[in-house]
Amino acid sequence: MTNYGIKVSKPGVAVTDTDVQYQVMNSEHNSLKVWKAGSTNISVSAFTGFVGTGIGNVDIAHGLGYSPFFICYFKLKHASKLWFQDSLDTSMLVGNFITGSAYSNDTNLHMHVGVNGNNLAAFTAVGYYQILIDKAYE
Amino acid sequence: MSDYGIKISKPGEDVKSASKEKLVFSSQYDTLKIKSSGSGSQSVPAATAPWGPSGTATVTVAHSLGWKPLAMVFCTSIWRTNDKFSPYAYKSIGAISPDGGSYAVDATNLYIHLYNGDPTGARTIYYRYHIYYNELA
Repeated sequence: MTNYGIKVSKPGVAVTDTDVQYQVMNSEHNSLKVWKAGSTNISVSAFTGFVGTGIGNVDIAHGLGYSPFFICYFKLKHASKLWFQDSLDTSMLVGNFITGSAYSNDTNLHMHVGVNGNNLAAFTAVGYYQILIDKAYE
Repeated sequence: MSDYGIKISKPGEDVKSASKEKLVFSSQYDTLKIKSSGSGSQSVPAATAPWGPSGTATVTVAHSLGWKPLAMVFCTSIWRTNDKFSPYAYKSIGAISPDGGSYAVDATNLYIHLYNGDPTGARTIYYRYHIYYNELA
């Protein structure tokens, strides 16, 4: 069988004669699949102006055996908003910021929070993650 | 019925035995589902001085979901002209003069914070976003 699978079109367009950008799903093309989603507390040390301060790290074991694609958000210190990875929470003095960043390896999703700026007491950030089955590389 | 659903394997793979990463689709796993998408441009005022604080502007997009959704945004950079769209802020000289965008969500809105590190004048930054039904929880 050379031509089989599933196509689902967007409302108002016929699935039989539309291009893929007008389809909700097409099994000819891979889709991102969520393997593990959740949140974790990240304890961030006080920032005292010296290297190695104002940081927090958490590893999330994913058990996939390869480095997966992922998407992370972070609740940082000052706002109820959740910040997309590597965004700047600039709710401090001008020029100061907090970021949440992340990477994956064969074992873990590594989530990191870093402070750059005025002295800041220790706090707890929250990292929200979606680990996808799809490989970050092939 | 305890074991049911849909699986579709990649070409050349047996759907009955293919591992999860060899599947194009599996109803066993959640997928990212787009609620809304959009794009636009925003004029951002100049930085106040060379290496000084960036000019800023915020685009607020209401999503009306009532929970904090996954969202992805890309925007243009004013300095890195070969990088047309980037998901991240460019943290030049600390963050005193960031360029590009930072993104945040709450239960009501997506916030696209835009930065212009150029002190010579306002610059236009272009953005594109997807808001998904998937909840950050």
